[in-house]
Amino acid sequence: MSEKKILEERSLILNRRSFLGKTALGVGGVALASLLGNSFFRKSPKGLLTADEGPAGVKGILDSLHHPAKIKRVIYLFQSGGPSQLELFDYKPLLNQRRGEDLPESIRNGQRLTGMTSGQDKFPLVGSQFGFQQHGKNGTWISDLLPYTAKMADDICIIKSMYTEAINHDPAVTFFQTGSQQPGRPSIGSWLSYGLGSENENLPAFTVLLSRGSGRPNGQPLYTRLWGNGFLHSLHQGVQFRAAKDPVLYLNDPKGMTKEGKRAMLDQIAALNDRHFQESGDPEIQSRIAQYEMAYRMQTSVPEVINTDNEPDYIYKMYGADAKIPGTYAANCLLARRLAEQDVRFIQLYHMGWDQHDNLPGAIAKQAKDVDQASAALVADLKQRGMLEDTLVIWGGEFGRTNYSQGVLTDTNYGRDHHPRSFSIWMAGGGIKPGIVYGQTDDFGYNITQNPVHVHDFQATLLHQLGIDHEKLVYKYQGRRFRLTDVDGHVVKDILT
Amino acid sequence: MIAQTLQIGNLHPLVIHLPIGILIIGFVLEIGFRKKPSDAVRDILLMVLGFGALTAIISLGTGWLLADNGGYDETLLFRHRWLAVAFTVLTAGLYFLKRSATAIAKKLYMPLYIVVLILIGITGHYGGSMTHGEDFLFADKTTQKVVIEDVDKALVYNDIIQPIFDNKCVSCHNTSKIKGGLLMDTKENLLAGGDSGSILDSVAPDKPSLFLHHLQLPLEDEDHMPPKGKVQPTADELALLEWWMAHGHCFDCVVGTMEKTEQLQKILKNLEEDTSTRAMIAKEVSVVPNAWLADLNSSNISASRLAIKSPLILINLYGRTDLTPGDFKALKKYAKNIVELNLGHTNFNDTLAPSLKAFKNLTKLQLQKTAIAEKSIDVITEFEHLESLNLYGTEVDNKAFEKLENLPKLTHLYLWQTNITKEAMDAFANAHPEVNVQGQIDSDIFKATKLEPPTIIADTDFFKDSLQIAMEYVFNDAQIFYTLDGSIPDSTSLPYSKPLTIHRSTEVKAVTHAPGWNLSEVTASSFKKISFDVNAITLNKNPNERYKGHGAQTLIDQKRGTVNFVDGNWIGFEGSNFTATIQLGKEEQVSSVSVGAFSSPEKWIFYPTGFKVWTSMNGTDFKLAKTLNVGPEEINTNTKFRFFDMDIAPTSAKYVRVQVNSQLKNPEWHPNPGGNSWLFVDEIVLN
Repeated sequence: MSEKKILEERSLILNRRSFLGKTALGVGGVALASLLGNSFFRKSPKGLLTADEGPAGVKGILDSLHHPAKIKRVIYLFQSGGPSQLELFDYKPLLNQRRGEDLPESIRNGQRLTGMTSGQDKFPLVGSQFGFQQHGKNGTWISDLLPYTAKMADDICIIKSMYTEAINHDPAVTFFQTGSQQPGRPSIGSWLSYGLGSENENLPAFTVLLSRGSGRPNGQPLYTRLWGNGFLHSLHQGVQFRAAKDPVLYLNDPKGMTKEGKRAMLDQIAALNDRHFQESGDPEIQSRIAQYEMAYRMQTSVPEVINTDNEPDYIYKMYGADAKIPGTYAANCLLARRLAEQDVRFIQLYHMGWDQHDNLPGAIAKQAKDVDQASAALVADLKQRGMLEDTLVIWGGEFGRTNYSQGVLTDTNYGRDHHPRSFSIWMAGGGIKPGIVYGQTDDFGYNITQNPVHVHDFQATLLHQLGIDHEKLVYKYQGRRFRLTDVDGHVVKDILT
Repeated sequence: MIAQTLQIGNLHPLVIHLPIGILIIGFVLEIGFRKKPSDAVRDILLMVLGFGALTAIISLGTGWLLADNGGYDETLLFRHRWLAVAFTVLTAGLYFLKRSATAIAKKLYMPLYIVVLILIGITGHYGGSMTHGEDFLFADKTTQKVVIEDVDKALVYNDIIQPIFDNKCVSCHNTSKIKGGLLMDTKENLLAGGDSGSILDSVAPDKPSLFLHHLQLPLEDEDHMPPKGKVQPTADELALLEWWMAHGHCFDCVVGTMEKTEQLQKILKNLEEDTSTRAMIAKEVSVVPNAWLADLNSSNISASRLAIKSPLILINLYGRTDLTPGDFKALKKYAKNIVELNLGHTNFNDTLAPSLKAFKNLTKLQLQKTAIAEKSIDVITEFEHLESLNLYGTEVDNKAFEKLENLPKLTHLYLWQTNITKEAMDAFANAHPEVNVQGQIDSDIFKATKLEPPTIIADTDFFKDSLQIAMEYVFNDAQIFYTLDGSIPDSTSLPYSKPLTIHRSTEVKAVTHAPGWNLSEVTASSFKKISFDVNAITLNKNPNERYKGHGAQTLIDQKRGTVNFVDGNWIGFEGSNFTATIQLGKEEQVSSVSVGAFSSPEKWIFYPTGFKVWTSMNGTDFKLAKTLNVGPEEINTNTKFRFFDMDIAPTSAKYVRVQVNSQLKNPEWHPNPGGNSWLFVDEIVLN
């Protein structure tokens, strides 16, 4: 049941209640109603949804897209913790030449620092310990840490000029996901579920997959509000698929419950809920009925989609042997492809452990190994299935890392603090120019010198590719119209085909 | 009222054709019945002429109103208007002449009719010139209209400015008129200027160029250009001209690289014309009613508009395995509006193929993982707009594939897992460089990926008599190889087939191997046989309060610490060595001592640098039995743990004392050199 319908029906039911209900006009109202006929009140709210009812492709609040869409779905490979752009994509030989020298104040230019390095009296520059080579037709510089990604260089668009305002993880991730540093707004996937609805009535429009990185296995955790629905109705929240016996919690029937019994129970609960809804008109009740039904259908659809037994060996060769181990990033990438095949609109992966304040060289090598092959394989796999044309794959974290060492710089070891002023992400697929590098940073890899892309620009572009004008997908809440891009955001036309 | 006036005026182009047609048919009738005049014919002609005159008056009236809207070339308008007045008057005269019975009227009638017909021709020509442009009839059609697809890539002069000149200036400033000695048809002539000199560059430093000067004068001014009465540039065109002049009337600039205001950006954007296949189709088809879409969606066919207000429709039938010809019939009514059809993973097959024929305007067709073959391809070859075709996982073979050769618009073709050979794909790709032919991803990219090591499974790490050890790996077809002697296993080591049993302390090392994959890294597990009972253990100093496990007992509880060093099975010492003294249950022959330790430099935890072992019979006199120096750790950041095994000359003993040496301070290579380093130990095993 789409939210629009729910709201429509709510207003209808409230109209009728105030019209016929406990007012002095009651009797006259009834007379008038019979004069005007039923059509005046239109049909009564649709009753219960059963498993085989309802339109294919439950659509969202938007009747049609604002402009033709380039893509049908998004796979967002979120690299949580802030991957170092200087070790992965932004090649800065100057930092190796001037290793150990203090960061010039003219470059830092008053940048706010985190509490972790603000006490440091020296900011020794440090270049990447890992080599860079040129790859692909355009000679894109990519780190030796990402050999597989490098081989897909002609298919990805690297943006080296991302920037954000947040300097700590929670606000920065929240900013990327919801367009605001403060918690409480809906996540990107929730906005899409709200705006576009689900193409597959058996699976949620917004699914979430988590994995822990080996670079910093005990790094910061994530929290469910990052894929929360904020002030939107709860049916728009992301559904987390876990790497466990119960991939989606509370989906399985308790022991001893039959399928028929479950159906009968749901029907009864729905009848009760519906009655309550008739009385109160609270749309969250309809939301809840829809969720029960979705859960019921997911009892069969989820095991089907996560059962990778029939994936052939050559697919595992692409994604790497890790893909056999549930809960790894590689396994999640494979799962993401399977969900994408089922027309799930927004598939969000989170890979934790990129927060390398110290021991960066060792940790980032492991972390890169976690994600490199599977990310590249995902792009390649989508490509050979003809899906890269209408799927957008995004790889990136919440901010970058400093060009100077956090802690003492030694011959073989260093760390990097959070850096919001410039960092790199890549995108591949639907409507994004393949094989290009967009934006530039200065030789210190500290400031952007060309084509800056703000978080809101990124979000506006993402929505644009889906056929949505980011200024028009709004939700009125507490007297204000909210949108994903808040009050800003420009579509980055230069990277679009 | 104004609105109504405007609308009536707009009827002029419509009603103008009435008197023309009526008067021509009158003339034809007049000629046709010349030889057999009758009263009936006269009456008919009177009616024709009368109605002709009436419509001529209406045309004149509407034309007058339309002219008031302005925007027309005044010379042309003047001629058209007064010729039309003459035409109307003469047509009315014609009617009265026909009615009159006088001889002079009869004589004048036919010549006047011919004059009227000539007037129709001339007046009509001026009218046509006003709406379609003066050179409409005799124009040099070699100059093509400039079509801008992406305004950022447009040449500002060539694609934007010169077309404005062509429309608004060149009618006077051309080679046949050369008003003011100025030609505005080419870059060279513009630069050459006119009788008053250069027009684009300012003559005096603080004065605008002649071009801007004349352009910006008020309309009433005599020197205003284009002169009053000529078609004026629109506000947008003025803005564009001024913008171009502000950029030094650049002749080679590309729009994308020029500075512009947001307002101008919008004007520029409006110049773009969408020439994509879909835009062309959209112009040809009618709008689809919402009700039709709603019907489809309620009958399990996902249908949506390409975008708001677009007449184009996308249909998604993905995954449906119950498709019948009826489903396609439901789409037939607006089949021409459907530009995208997803039939992937459906029961669509060659039998259903004829149902596809109606979808002539498809630009994207997805047939992946369906049972289609040649017959469907035959239908597809008719789709002249098709741009993207997905045939992945179908039975299509080389023969059918060749038929796709003639799809004119094709750009994307997906052919993975079909019966089409690599050679055929390559040949196609070479012959059609504009088509992106996607077969299997180059297998070299993911060649020989590494396997993960197997898992070694046992109930316990310490055992008395024997222990069963199993190994497993997620890939069923991968083979596990292992060693029991501490050597590095490879694919020539012992192959694992069923659980094995060990009877003495053993370090099991194993790898995974599968054809086509790289050997995995080595995994290792130590299993310790414990021969004697231990009575008690004492430590010379207490472990750190935070990492004390359950005291000294932790070292002999036969519970091995895991990779998680805070699991309570490890005890930790900060920046110091320690010594443990173990009391055996009875006198035993001791020949080896093993100490388990943990290392994770990131966490400031390092392996011991050395050990000392003493034995004693009475617990007071200890005899040194072994000194082992391991040395400090090399640079690394790995988290790991292992046993340090020390063989000693077999000695009878009731007490054994072990000193474990820490490196005390973090080494130079550590991010925090000189900090207190930690020692984490679990289990001391004697044999």
